[in-house]
Amino acid sequence: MLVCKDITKSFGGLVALRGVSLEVKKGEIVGLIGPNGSGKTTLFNVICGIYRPDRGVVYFKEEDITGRKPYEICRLGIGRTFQLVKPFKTMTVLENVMTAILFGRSKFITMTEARKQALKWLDFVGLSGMKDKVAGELGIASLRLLEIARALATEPELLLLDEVMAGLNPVEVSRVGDLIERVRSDLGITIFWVEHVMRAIMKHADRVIVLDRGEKIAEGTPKEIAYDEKVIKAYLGEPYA
Amino acid sequence: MLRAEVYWKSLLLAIPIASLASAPFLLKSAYFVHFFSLLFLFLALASAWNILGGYAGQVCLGTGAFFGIGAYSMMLSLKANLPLYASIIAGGIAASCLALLIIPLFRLRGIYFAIGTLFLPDIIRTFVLYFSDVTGGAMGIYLPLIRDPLFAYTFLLAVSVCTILVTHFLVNSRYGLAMRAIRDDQDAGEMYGINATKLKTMCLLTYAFLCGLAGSGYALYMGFLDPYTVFHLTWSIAPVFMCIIGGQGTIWGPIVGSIIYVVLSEQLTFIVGELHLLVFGGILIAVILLAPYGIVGALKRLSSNFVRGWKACSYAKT
Amino acid sequence: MKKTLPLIFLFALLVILSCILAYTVLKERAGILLATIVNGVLLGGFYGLTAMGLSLVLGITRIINVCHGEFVVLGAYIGYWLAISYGVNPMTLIASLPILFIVGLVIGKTMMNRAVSMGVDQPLLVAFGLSLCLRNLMRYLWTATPRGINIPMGGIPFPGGTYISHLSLIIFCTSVVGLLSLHLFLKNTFIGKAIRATGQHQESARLMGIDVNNINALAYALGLLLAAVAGSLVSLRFSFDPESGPMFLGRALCAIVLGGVGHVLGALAGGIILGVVESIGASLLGDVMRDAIVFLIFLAILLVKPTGLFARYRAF
Repeated sequence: MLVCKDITKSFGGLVALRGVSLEVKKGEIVGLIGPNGSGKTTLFNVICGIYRPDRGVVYFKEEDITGRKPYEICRLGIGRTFQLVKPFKTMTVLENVMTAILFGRSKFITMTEARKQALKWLDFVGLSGMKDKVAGELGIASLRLLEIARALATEPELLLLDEVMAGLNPVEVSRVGDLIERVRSDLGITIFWVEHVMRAIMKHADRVIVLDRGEKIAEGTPKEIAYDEKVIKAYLGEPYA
Repeated sequence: MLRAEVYWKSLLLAIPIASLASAPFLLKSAYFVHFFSLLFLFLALASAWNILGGYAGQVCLGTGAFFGIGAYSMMLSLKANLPLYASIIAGGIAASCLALLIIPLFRLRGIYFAIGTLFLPDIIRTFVLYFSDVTGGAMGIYLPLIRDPLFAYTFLLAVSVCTILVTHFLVNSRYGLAMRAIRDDQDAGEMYGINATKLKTMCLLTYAFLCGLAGSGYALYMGFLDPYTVFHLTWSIAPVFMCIIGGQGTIWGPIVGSIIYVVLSEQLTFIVGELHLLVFGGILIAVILLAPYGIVGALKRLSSNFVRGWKACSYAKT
Repeated sequence: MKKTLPLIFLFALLVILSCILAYTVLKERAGILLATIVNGVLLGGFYGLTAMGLSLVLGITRIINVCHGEFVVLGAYIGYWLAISYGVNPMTLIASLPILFIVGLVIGKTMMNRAVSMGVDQPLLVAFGLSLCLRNLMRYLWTATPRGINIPMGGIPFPGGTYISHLSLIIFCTSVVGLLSLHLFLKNTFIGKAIRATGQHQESARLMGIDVNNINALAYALGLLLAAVAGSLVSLRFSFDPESGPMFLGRALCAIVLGGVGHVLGALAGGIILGVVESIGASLLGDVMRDAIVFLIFLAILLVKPTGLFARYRAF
């Protein structure tokens, strides 16, 4: 479904991504991990069209989407949450999701219909009680659920989750983890997931890709990754390898 | 909204509009016509600016350019023997064409759109002065019709009502949601499918067209245009002043703001005479720094705080 | 600085070469062209000075001070008024400097700091309001009649019947000296370094113990000080009235976008280029179009290449 070939991106002198190639197949939950600064969010930004790579191509469903505008990519079927949540602060939770529905899809939809569907999505993630609250007042757990609801509302085929568990307590982590499983099983959405909370990734991901300093250093099942020498070296340093 | 609500609200609106429309014929007061013509003119400008500046968040400091080009285009179309209504629309279209040239400025974030528009009135004025054989240059240009204040009054009333209705429908539509989304977080908005540049362009063109119509109204009302008055800084500052004092991003804001502006301009000239613009500037700065949401904005926040406090109290009782 | 110096030399070389070429090819009219270009360069030095105040404020506090033009005119009025009352001498010309500096400190501390803390639009709108206030104040105090100090001075004759006035040369030299001393101040003194630090990264500067609020107010005041210097020169060379503000603001902004923000030499280079283009354009299209040429160049650069020609970093 998603194929990245040889993605390279630098910012001035800093090389953020160096020849990264990977593939995400339909129906998978693929995790993307790596130490801080390894280029995970940059890769997401390249896929979503926020950055244009210096070299390399991004294919989505066999189509070349490299360097297209973010709103075009959204309409093609890729949804994304942000690492630092970006809600529309002066709008209510319901309006946040409605906006995503009205603009994020390629088909036209009326306002009343959009409202109904927005309520349905809020129900799915468990935010129905907060639908009329202004987004700027929400706590981090609700904001993360809102991000997911908004991304889902654009009816993506591929969902990019960027550190969606950051700042959550253990109870919230398992709730969101179950939600992500439901997204895959109930909605059939492929998930590509950057995360630091290891136990969530290890529990839910089919496959894990590891980046370090802009390069892909390992790929495999969670178990294989946990014992991979290069991964341990990247995270913990040489003595532990 | 429910059907009954729509009918009821339309009726509520129709009454003041009908009374304003018929008033000059009943009252026969020249001062009334003068005061309200000015009020409608400024209201139209403020509402139009509000679409671009209050809702889409793009501050335009060059309203005088669109206003002036609308006024001159109408005059020149009339001189070229176009029918009256076609000339009026030509004013709006000319302003929109000018707006089209500015679109690349949207690539720059934030305040650089504002300073890009800052000198537009001066540029257009220079061109008007340069082509003085066509535009009358510094000597000005007269309306080739008999000046009809009542017609101008009605037209300006129509334009301001139109502008407010456009704002209302725009804000309550999907584009209203998109504008607020872009204003809150443009990157997130783009990620969820909003084409920010297209949206801003839409708002800009709407704003420019309405300013051009206001300019046509001004030309009809005054019967005479000269480049130094028409492209003066006041026309660029007034909408900013009105929207900030009244409250940006609200429908009532420009209405309140324009009433305050027109009343103040008349009264201040009596009180402080020469320095009334100084006082205006001072009020503008004070409001920006101390009450950034304007009157209507502040009232909205107070009322929502009040409602929340009330709800909290009622929960506490149970 | 290292990158711009060769560019400036290259540019100056090009100007000189084209002058020599023009002279040899056109002999008679070349004199006028040459004089136009030289006058343009001298004018450009002055524009660079005007631009520097604005560039300093923009680079350090991130405020586009749209009332900069009005402060230049205010400086000119103060110089003019003192000269009329007490005669033209160095004291009356310099008097406007401390006045505007103190005014800058007051405005910076009370209004601008608060506006900056409220968002990006607010400082611009406050400056916009200030420009309205200043125009009205100056009109009230000195009426709308155009003013200017007339100092009869000789000039250097040029082939073709024109001449380069001594006043223009003096103004150019003053501008260059002013810019060089600003550059030295920013580079070598402790406060200069504090100002540069605040401009580069406010948070880090704060962590180093720099009182960022005071430094921002100081930067604003310095910007007004430079405006006062430009204003004093204006009173000698140009005629001005309360509505002249946009003229100077436009040229300052144009010089900045040409030369890059926060760059002392960039502002000078941008000013010189602007001066030459404006002078040549005015001789071709007529004096009426002078302002329009400047504003159009500014708009064109914003639309096409906002980073400017020599920008060290992307301010836009």
